[in-house]
Amino acid sequence: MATKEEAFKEIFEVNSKKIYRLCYGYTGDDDAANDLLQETFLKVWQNLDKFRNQALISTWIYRIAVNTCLTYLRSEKRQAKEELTDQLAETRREEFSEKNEQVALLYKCISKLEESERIIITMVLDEMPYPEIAEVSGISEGNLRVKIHRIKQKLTELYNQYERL
Amino acid sequence: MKDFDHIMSVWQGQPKADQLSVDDVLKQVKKGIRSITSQLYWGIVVMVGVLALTFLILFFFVFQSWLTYMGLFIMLITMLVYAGMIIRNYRILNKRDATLNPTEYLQDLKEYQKSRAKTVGWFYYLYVLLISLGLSLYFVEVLRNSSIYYKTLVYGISVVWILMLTFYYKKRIFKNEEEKLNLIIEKLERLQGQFE
Repeated sequence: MATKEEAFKEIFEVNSKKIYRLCYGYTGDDDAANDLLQETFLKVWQNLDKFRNQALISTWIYRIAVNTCLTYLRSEKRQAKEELTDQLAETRREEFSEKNEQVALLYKCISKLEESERIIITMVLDEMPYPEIAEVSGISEGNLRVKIHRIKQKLTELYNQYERL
Repeated sequence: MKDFDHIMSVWQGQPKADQLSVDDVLKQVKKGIRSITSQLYWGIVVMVGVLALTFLILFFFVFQSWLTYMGLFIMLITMLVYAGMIIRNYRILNKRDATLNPTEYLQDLKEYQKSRAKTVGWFYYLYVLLISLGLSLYFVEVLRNSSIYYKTLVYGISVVWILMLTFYYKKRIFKNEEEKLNLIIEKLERLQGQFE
């Protein structure tokens, strides 16, 4: 049990930051991202014995996180809260430092993408190698390259469009 | 006009969010596992209790009519079917492999939700039919010597209960459940399309 705990802690320390960003990019909400992060690691704990080293552990965890995000259902309460957060974000915009403002803008643009695009682009932004992204998302590498090219264009357009506002 | 490299630098320069500590997460994970296990545990305890009670009535109470035994037997079968369904759902959910690629995972989940949407509908009618039949047969002998007033009261309450289940509870709860399931299926179909 102690070794399982140690293994879990190590896996968490190495991967949690990126998984949190993936969840935050997907939901655009800090609480929801933390919930998803915990749910992902709950599944990691449950399945840890089944991990057979046939894949990279990071790819394996990403798959769990992606599936957890995809099946995440926003509760009505949370949706209402998100709308409120959106409004607050707008009115408090001037309070942000320039750097934070750019980050907030980037997350806002990511939230305008389709679900699969949000997931793929966060992996690209975290500089995950393409073969690994293909492995996680189950899309062929050739197909993925085309998709990534399109998503990059779309995100850049959105970013420039919102920055002008 | 900013390019993608600028976006990349914004992403990589983002301040570190306040993150959960590994010990807190581990505590939460263990709590989560315990709550899943205890939910299942109590579900099983209640089910075994009700089944044992029905068994007791069936085998230790002496009834004269075979119809009464038939009624109890039908209720027992209904509860067993219900127990079987809960265990089946639990096993299917537990078997689901979150490490599959998203298309396979979503396909798998979609099929499960579709079959669940169907089962939720027909199972309710089967359940009401069998429980009503079982109760009616059971009451024939049990209420044989009761006053007409008492008989009317018991039958009346049973009919009102079943009508309430069908026209109030089913409409509210099952409709919500059905809408939720349909929404989930719709979402899964859309997502699956995105990964193809």
